[in-house]
Amino acid sequence: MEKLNPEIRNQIENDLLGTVGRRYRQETFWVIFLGLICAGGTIAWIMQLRKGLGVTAMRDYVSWGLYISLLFFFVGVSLIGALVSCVLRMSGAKWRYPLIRIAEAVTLSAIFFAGFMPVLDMGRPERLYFLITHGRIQSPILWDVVAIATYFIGSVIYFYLPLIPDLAIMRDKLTDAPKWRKKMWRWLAMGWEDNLLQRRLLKKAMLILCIVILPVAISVHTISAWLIAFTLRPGWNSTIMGPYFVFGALMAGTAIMILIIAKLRHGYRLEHYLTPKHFNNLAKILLALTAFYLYLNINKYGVPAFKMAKEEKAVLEDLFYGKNAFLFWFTQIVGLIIPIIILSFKKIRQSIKWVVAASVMVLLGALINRYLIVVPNMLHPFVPIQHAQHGYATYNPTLIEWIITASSLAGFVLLIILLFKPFPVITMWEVIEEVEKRGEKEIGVENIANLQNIPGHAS
Amino acid sequence: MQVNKHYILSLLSFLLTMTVAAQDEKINGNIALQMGSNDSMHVVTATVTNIATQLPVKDVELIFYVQRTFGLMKVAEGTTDTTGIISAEFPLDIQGSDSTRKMIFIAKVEENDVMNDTAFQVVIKSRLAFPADKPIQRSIAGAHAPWWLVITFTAAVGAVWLLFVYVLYLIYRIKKASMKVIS
Repeated sequence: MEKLNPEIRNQIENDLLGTVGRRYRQETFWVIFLGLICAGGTIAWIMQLRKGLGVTAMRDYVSWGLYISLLFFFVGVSLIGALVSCVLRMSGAKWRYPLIRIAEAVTLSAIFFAGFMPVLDMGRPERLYFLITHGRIQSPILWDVVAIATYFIGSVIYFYLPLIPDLAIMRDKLTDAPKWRKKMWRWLAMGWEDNLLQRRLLKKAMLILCIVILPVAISVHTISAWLIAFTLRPGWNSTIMGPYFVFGALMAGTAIMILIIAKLRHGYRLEHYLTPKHFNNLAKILLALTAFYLYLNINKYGVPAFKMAKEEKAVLEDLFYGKNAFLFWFTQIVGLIIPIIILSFKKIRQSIKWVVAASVMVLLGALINRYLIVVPNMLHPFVPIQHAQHGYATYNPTLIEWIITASSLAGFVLLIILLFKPFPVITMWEVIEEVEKRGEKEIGVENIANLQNIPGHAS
Repeated sequence: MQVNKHYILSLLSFLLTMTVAAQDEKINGNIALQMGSNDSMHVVTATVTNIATQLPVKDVELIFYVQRTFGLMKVAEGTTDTTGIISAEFPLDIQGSDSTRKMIFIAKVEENDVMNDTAFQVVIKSRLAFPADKPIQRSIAGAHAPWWLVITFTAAVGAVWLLFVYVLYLIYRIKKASMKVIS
């Protein structure tokens, strides 16, 4: 494939730089709205810190409530970066290029809040320091903290590496940007001049990180699963937990990726770069993962249900036709079976609206599923507490817990939006390079040679 | 039953009496404890008497506990016979409370129809000290992790962080590569 005409190349860069620093009315509304939720969550957290965990519904039975359920959700979602950047890279999927930065941003935001959730769950967060000074290397909690910190640092580096050439483009092109931004871009661009040695070094760094980040990502999810699988409780005492978490994570991550690219495509006018091909391919991945997750669910719940051992019976009855039956069957039917049916049809899969609808269902199911993994099992221990007060053997989250949980979800979305304020959504240099090498079709972009620039900084 | 001499001889005074305000129909009582042991069990014989009349009290439910760090561990229970006596057994392999193998044994009358709440405690010697006399070996459940786990964990985490450092070094070289061209 021939090199792109410099004029067209210039046009693509201008088009993609159009989102940088640009204010979209709808986006401003969302930033303020999500910011207010975060402010409410901060106030609620300060109240929790001042009065202690007594303001939550967490007691002796359920000591991991909404906060840890959300930790598992965030840890899960964060796997999307590894899927897009590493798994698709290794499988040679060229259409991944326009998605890489979005996936890394989702990963970065998710793993940041995943690290924050255990702190919220602690009555005395300053004691986190003792985990470092007095940590037991045998404890999965220590492994989890180390794995999340490692994955976070790895994700920051992985987000930054493909950004270097783009930062140089911004440094050179966005000359009318505020001074502090220009200074930041110049500093972060690392003197990028696109010479051969720099390219070789950058590609080497990206390859090394791609190989390292995948086992780190899988270890984060597996260790999170071990946090509960190493605990002797009905429902948790299972060897399936590691793969169950990893594939649940991939499924939830793919669903949220579809939702975010749908929003960005429309909101940032990226229809040429985030095309139906991306939705169709992600939908195929989501279909495979959802079907496999259903298979894992049959094993996780079906096998103990067939035996109905005394200890497992209470928790299974609670899920099948007890207090949590509605949520359980919602996750199975709305969260898995219906999306599988929807995504099985090629025609439906080619419709962005249907793919988004299926993703919403999968994501809701995944979110509720995390709650069902944590709470009902904690309410049915092998050895119940004798003479436990009524409030200690039930769990109904308080308003403070709901506000903090909502603000964490809002913060997750807000951080993704904020990450795209100073940086372009699409990796410019990689997309241009791959279009030159393989053509638009294989990368999944459409008609980018005939762009009409949206007025922004780049114009 | 073969009775341990040591335990029979080291018999045992009352250290504390807790009496809740007496109600009209209830009596105040004493509990005398005689401690012994056989091959595998501690054996306790408790005699409950009326403080005022010194006569044995029958049908009093007694609960026996051993003091643990964060509370009382129930080890046996029973009801006095017509002579005011009750015998009970509990395992010998309960660890003491400290390195001297001291163990506080408590007999309690709680919410009884005949007698006011009363508690007596005696200090006995356990066979096992806490922490154990022998140094605890490295293990998953112990204070120190087994070496294989320490090495595996450190090697895995260390290798990943070393590669991160190497990637940062490559970024530094990217910057240097630019400087070379400029110079």
